[in-house]
Amino acid sequence: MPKYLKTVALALLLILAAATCFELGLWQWHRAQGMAKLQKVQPERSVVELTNAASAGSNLRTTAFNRLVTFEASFEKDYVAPNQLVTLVDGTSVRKDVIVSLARLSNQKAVLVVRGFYKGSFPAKSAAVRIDGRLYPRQNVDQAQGGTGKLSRIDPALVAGDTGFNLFDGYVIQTGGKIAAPQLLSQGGAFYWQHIAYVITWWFMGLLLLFFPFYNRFREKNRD
Amino acid sequence: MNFFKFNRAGALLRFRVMANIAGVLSLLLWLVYLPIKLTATNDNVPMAIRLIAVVHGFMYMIYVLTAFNYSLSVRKPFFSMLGYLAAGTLPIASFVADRRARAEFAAMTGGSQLPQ
Repeated sequence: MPKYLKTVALALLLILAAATCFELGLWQWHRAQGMAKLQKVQPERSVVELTNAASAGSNLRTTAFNRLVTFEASFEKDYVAPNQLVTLVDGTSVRKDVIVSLARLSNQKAVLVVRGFYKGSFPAKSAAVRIDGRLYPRQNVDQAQGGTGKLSRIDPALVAGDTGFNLFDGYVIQTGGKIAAPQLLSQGGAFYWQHIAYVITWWFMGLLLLFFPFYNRFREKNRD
Repeated sequence: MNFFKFNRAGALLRFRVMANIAGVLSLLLWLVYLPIKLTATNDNVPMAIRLIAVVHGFMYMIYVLTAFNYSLSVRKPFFSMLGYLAAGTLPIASFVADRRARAEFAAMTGGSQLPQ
């Protein structure tokens, strides 16, 4: 192979590798920006039907987190979720037992709804009603001891065996009561900086590859 | 300006410290964090496990800088330097890089300047 062809091939390879490094850095940069966005209160988007924001039987997408949703459903079964940290409409936070009900939509689909504080009894059953609220990802950490009729955390997986319904992932806090439904903010500040560290690393690698044609010259020039 | 005037023994010591830290973190990343992350549903990974990836992100960045510093100080060939930089991403590889760097530095200086 002629020498100039080797040089061109090597130059193309280096440019391609450097471009890949810059692109990977850019991808990490976008991930960091996405992370930063989740840590700030976002402007409210329009209210959507629950079925347009999420699908029953599949994981809740991150784009559906914090969506204001509306849907018509009847409450089928009630549970108590003890020791939940809830925000009141005046902005203060308290730990209390809350009522979580299984709301059945049409087509055997159902979603968990936080309806209010538990004071020893559940509300009377009613026909289908329109429910407005905010959609949250399911809780991962137990807040209390579970048991019959008691949910240790608000997670549809805990009631899946109780019902024959196709459950939506996550849960809804019903608005209009004493419990507020503020936007859930990510606490992952460290993850933002993790992505920034990767941005620096990838872009540094990209620069290093572009430095290659000059590297040997510098190496020779500075020999002892 | 001379880009290659570094304290070689210091550069090797910094590189070796970071190679071992990056090696341990790579092992944790590949053998603990990734299996849990890939099998978890809905990104349900405990915070303690997530921190492995965060710490690795920062430490790898520092490792890359120390590997670059060391490679310049001993005037390593370019692709050999890239190998050192990439070694921090794979488990075991940075331990191998550490041993190799120590051996080549000993050969270069006759063992007289080897940091312990």
